[in-house]
Amino acid sequence: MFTSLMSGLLLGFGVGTSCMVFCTPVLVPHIVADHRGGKPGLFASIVFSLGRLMAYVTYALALGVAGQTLSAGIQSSTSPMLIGMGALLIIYGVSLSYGHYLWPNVTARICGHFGSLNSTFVLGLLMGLTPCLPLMMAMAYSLTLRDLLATIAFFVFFWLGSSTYTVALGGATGAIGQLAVARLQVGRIRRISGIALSTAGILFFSEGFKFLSALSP
Amino acid sequence: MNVGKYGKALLAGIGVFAAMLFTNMDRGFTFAFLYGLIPAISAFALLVAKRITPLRRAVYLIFTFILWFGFDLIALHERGSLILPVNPLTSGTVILPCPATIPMIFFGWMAYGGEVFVPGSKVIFPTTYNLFLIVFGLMLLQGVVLGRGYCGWSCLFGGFLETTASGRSYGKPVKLTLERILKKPSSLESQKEKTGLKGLFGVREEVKDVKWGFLLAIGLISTIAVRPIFCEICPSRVWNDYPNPASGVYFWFSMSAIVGLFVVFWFALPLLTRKKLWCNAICPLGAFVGLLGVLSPFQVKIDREKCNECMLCARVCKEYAMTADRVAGSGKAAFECTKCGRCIDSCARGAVDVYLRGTSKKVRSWFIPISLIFTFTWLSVFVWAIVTILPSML
Repeated sequence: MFTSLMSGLLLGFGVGTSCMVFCTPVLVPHIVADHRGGKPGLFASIVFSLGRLMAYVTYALALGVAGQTLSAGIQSSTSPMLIGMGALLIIYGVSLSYGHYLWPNVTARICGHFGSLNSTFVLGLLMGLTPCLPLMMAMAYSLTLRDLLATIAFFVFFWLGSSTYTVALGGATGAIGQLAVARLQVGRIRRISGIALSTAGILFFSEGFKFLSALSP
Repeated sequence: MNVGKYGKALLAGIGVFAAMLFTNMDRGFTFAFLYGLIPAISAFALLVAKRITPLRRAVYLIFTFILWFGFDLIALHERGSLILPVNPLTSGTVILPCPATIPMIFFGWMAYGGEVFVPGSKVIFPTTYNLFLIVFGLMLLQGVVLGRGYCGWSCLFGGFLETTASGRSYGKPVKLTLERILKKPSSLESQKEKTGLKGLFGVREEVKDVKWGFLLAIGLISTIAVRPIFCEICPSRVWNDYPNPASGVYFWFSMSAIVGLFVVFWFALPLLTRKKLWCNAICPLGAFVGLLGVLSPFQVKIDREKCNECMLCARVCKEYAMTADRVAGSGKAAFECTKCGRCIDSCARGAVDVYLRGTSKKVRSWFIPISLIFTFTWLSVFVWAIVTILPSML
């Protein structure tokens, strides 16, 4: 059991920067737009990471029970997950940046919804459910454990290791966002963040299509 | 310090000569010396010319052609094809780093460590030290010294846009004014003023901010992934480094983005509007050098004592940088100014010029040779490629 914990923690630390590839372009603009300040940013990134934790525990339970059978299914779901995530980010990003021009009636509701901490948790959950390379490495290792408790423990400690970078980034981003407000209008900061989120969404789309091409015969 | 036109032209030549020797590209003294004569002659011609725009455009056009021709020659020589492998970031692939890609990935690359661009890949520069000096170091230095002057004198994208956006940017040649994206001043009193100054207040902030959001996303992802994300949709790939058709759906997605961006922003819009909206509002490379350029000592400014607010400088500006409110207000060109010199050439009273930032000292005669040093240093890689590769291919 101790080996599983340490393996998860070390793997998380080791691939944590790769985890940031997927999470940073979502987390940074989200914090700059809606959770500026060192403490709010830190808190938002913790909530985001808790969403990821829930996703990882879900995978741990699924893999611990169904094992190899489910693993192939999870990997083949990468493409639709990425495409779906991309679509969500584009809606969020466009609403934040130009929503009041394009769909003024619903923009306030969309932005309010996405700006809440509940949505931060859901964003983290969805990001955690989207299979990325570090997560697939963790899944591959967990299949060798053949024990539900060990698998859950492994994923929790993997989450702990990989979240350190994300949480630190969240606090720093919030602080920088607060500094930016001194020089730029809040509306402009939110617009730039929205454009960045839309761009990240388009790139997720692109990655989804890449996986689709890779998996198709 | 009164150096004179000859001295400044010589500075351009010596600068390029020294840059080639310093960066240790091993091309030999003779090539460096002969090649160094070209920027010296160009600088002298620009310094003595009454209007620099036609000469600058000619140099820029030649720069663009040689750059992309040389780029394609290197790709054909090293890889045998202009089409990239299915996964270009794999061992054995030849990587041709361009000035846009290296700044994107450099910090991530340093954090991860590593001898080469991608472990096992072959980079066209002899060592990673050369890669750093030429591509990243030069990019940083040029950004700090010239700011967005990079865009007006040595951008690998900008030369093509100069061509498609050429011609008078007001009156009959303009087929499309894009009024919806232009600022509309609310403070003008008379209808006559509103009509006369229509379209001269620059691009709306909502549109200009696209480049900042774009830069934020691309910068974050590229730094962490150590992969130049922008390359996947870069419009310049219409003539090199094509995505591989074997990629399936991804090929169609990537090519659609590349061709779409090229046709709309590099061809159609500049041709119809005679303006460079890509440079003003979209290009993340321009945004990056612009950020560096807050430190640049060069600034385009209006002498308020000479200016009669005829607004011709605002009409000829292709970057939407010299605007009516700036002419009437601060007298300084906007952040997006690429120091191309059109406004300076157009002013009948000589009221516009390049000044040392924060002073009233005119420094255009220094700006020109310094710009050409960077332009011809970039170009030297591709001139060398043409000189060494083309004879063997013919």
